[in-house]
Amino acid sequence: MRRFLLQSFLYSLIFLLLVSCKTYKLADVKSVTNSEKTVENLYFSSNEDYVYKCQMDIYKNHVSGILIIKKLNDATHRVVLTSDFGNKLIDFEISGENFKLNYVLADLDKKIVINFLKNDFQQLLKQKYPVSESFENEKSKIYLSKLDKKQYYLFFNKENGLLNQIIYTKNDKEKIDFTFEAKKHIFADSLNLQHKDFKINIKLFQITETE
Amino acid sequence: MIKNIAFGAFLLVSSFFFAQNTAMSGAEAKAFVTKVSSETKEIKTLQSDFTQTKKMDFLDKNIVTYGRMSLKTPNILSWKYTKPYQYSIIFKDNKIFINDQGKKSSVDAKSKTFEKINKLIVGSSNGQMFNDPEFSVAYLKNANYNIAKFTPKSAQLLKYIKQIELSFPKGQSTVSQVNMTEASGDTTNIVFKNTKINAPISASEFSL
Repeated sequence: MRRFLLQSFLYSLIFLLLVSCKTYKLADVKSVTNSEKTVENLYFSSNEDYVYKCQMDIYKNHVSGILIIKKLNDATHRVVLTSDFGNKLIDFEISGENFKLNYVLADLDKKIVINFLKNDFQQLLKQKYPVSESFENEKSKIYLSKLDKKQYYLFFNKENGLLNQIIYTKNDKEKIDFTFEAKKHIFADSLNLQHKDFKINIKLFQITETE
Repeated sequence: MIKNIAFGAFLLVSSFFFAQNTAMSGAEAKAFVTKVSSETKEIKTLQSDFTQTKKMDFLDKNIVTYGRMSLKTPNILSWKYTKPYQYSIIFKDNKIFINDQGKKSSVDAKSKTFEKINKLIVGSSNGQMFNDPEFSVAYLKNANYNIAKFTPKSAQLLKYIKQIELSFPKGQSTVSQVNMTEASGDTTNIVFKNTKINAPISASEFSL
């Protein structure tokens, strides 16, 4: 573990040095007047079970399993990851402000892992975004939402109105890139979560609707 | 609330009728172990379709996955999920080979936990599991099944699994159902169907 931490630290340091001068900027877009006050990520907003096949790559470690997301009330989601054999790896309840760990497998019980998951899912499950500025390009309507040092760029497909990307930036640096594929606004068929400053990637493919 | 009470009552009553498990006597348990152990010694290959059902109290629906397991004695095991997604894991030559929806990888099976899990799965097909020093075993029976209930002895394994129940249909020496209870209390049920003993298995079953 110590070697892993050291390695991660070195990797991220090198990576940070390489990217730290790069500031995230929208390219080839034109500013438009605010048409919306708030935009929403509704992909986890239904009370039904959301079940996904999950592939996580955390540096050189590959974790495979089944991810379940369930909205408990307006603010809180329950998130459970099991292995493919069904045994539970991690189970937590999360809202914008709160995080309650119900269970974690001893091998995964590392502060660094839990903090990453907490942060990633807090961003992913955030539903409402107040709009600060609006843009558009050929394909998308783009909304910028500013909350303190955090900025979110939400890309909605012009043709079908579906959210297909969120770029999360902090201090103007690109942090996480969320890409969605969907046919309806409350349900994403697949999702790709890519960290820009760490070698962490999470891929989800829906297995909710199998019949 | 009333629904829950009614459901609880139903479970209670139905368990009296359908699955009243009683402990086997010492002689019965001995006869059962001897029969299963001697019959499974004749097993060279085993193939079976399985349905895995995961239950969690906060979900509306159970999570159900389907696949096929193949085993070649002494120690090659393939476990392939085919629906609703493709995932294969093969235990062979002290290595574990994984194909996760096209993404292939392999790891040395030297990890103690993996070794124990592999031993248990392989052991459950050759009757060796009854002698596994990692587990204490209780023998139960009901109208339709003989049941072996395994409880891990070591704290290390107890972190993963609280109990494993193997159900053998009366008169048969292969497992038709596995019930696993995790440390967290969640259960996973695996039902085996179309079990074929000593039928030839193509080599491709044991490669990714």
